Amino acid sequence: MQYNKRNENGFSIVALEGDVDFHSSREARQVLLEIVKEKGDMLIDMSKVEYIDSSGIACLVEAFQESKTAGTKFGLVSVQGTARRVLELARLEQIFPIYSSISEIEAS
Amino acid sequence: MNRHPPFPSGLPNSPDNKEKERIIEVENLVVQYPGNPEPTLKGIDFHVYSGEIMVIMGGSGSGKSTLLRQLIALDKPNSGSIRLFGKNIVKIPPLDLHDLRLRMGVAFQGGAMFNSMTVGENLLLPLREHLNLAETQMEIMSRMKLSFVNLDMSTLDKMPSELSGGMLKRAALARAIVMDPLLLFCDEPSAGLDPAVSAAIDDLIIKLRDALNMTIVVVTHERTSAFKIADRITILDRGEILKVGTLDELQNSKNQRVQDLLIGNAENVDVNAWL
Repeated sequence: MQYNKRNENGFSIVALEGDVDFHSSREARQVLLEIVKEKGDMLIDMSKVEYIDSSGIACLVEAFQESKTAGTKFGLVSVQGTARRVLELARLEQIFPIYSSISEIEAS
Repeated sequence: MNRHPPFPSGLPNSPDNKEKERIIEVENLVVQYPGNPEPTLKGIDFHVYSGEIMVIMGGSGSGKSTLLRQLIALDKPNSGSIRLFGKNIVKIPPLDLHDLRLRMGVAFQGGAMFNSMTVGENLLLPLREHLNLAETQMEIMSRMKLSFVNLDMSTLDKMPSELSGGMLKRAALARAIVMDPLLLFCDEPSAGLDPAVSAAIDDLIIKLRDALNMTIVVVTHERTSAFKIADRITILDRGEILKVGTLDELQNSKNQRVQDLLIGNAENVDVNAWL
């Protein structure tokens, strides 16, 4: 897994790339929780995630829960393929704010 | 080992079926238990494609439980080979088998949960043992799997003995998938359940294939379930494979024994054996 972090319009945008799995999800968790700790609003760009397992989804859930506690904003962008199917199976797509693109958020 | 099965789901007899990756390949498998005059499995050959639900059906004494024990490497055969993800588990070194097992899940018929632990602890056990993840992450993973199988989160604190038959089957399924296996084995997942619960478990098995591209082998004698979930069915009869195919192919088979087994008319006792 690789990730790219940038700031845009007051949001920390984390673009995850590749496989978010047992091997890499610890790192992903650290990155996401660090942003919450800094009281930052966060968007996670999932458009380049090729595969995500349940440990990766668990990172997203934890970051979402922590951001709610911290009172910061959290959202997922461009969730596709396996990631979307797993979120649907766990009915998490009803819980997470999910956007089709960054431009959709800017427009809203 | 390919973690990303290249095919979206096990569409029966799709044109590209021949190009699909074979996750399980069984060749000329013979199993004979000591003291038995005849082998229980008499030279079994079959394969399972990536992302398909293969149902193994057969009456009592057909050899389906013996075959399952072989597939999950609980027993060794007298001869033949079983390749899982390309590795022959009959001759595999113990450490490689351990690695392979991390990518396999088994939902045993009776649940096989540790009775001295809560359901939650049962789910967390393999995660804690095999993965180097934060405790919070593992707890979320086990709750997620409980949600997959439509069990209430209060189930986590219950002991297995407090669960109904249907709940226990679902909890066992949740534990079987807690490590995100590529290959899932289910032994009689809906046996003894009322039709509604049985149908819910069937739906769940289909969802696991569709959402996670899991390759699933289900051993069952429940015809309704088998016909609903199977991409292909292997019919075992007296230790031999009678037929492998889609439900349509089996229903169109001219073999009377296949037809008898499909409609549940087959007797398992060989008349010649006692004459």
